[in-house]
Amino acid sequence: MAQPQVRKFAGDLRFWEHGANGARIPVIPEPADKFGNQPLEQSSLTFSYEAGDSVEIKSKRRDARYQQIIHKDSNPGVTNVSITALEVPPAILARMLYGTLVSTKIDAGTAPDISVTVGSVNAPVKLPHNFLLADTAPTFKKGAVDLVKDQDYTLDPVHGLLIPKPGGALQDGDIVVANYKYDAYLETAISGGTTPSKSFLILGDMQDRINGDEGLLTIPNVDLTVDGDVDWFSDEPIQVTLTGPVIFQSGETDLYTFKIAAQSAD
Amino acid sequence: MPELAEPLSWQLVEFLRDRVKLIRTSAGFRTDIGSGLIVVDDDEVPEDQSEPATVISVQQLSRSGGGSAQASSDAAITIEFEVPRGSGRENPRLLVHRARHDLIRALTLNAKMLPIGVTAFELLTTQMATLEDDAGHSAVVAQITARAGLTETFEPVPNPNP
Repeated sequence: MAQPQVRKFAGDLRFWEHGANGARIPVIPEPADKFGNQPLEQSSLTFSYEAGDSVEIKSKRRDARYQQIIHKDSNPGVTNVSITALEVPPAILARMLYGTLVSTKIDAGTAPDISVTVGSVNAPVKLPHNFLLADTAPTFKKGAVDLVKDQDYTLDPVHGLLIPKPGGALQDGDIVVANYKYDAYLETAISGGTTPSKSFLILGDMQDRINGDEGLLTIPNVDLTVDGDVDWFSDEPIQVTLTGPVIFQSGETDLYTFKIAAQSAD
Repeated sequence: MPELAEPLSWQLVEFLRDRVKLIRTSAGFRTDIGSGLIVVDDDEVPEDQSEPATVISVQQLSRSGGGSAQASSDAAITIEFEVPRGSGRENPRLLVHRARHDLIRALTLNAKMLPIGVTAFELLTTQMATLEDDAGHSAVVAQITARAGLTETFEPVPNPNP
């Protein structure tokens, strides 16, 4: 007798973001991973299906079948995917902020004579770089006048902020010429609110935990957005629920596929 | 008849033992628990044991569901790391904290690495305690409790023909 086909899946979900010209950008690039893309830590994967329109034809014959359904046809519906992510890599952080992500690697260097405008003396002024180095003290000039640190301004070198001091030489609308050295850093800049959703390719390396069958889930295009509110200061690490409909990807033959295989014993 | 594999609950114990064996300072861990004594069965404990040791035991299997040819159970597992006082080790409490960290690191794993049939494995609580028995032996102990979900499927055993 056959053993019951009891199933329980475990799997690694790998995400690629759809880029321009068919590029697929790994969400967590990792050279040591067999796919070059580390699986996203997740705790759930849910498929839901919104049924399409259905057509029912009812019998008009005046006998026992009167008004009973004699034919039913359903149109295909929309598949939605929902994933609870337990980690927030930059591409998912961009989803959390409904924005676009630009990662820039900035090499250490010197900023010679950079002009910044002081909008208001009451608010800090952002310099073009972060991580200003202290070994050669940054200098700031207003016209020909050297500004004096702690008298005219203070500095937040980590965020690259020039903070005008009340009673100092700086006035609203002044142009300050800055000279400083900065360290190398990797900046992930997210412009929030511009992109409510983004397309992803998901590859699920799934395993049936009970009989050992190996399955491969392929979703060529799913348009994901973050569902619900995210508390930035929650006690627990942030979990985000990514959800969205599966989109038919041109060039593919199926909306999504799941292939499961058991290796033959002989 | 092909030799039967051991029951899933025992496969789990052996799997956990093999994971604990990975804990070596040469592999980037803080302690060398893996090269020490790891006890899974009674006959492995020497009479005059005075070195730190790890004990892995499955204490309870409670049924959580199933059908006519399958059974799902929750296994309660304890993993205990014990440093006897007077074994010449300095800072036994620090050692226990390190051991707990290493054990949790070695036992936090992707579900796909578990033996087939083990559907879940999670670490629940760690207790650190000082034990003293009547004979005056004293030891510092880190006890980790974990739970695992097991699903076993069976080929039905027929009744003998009347």
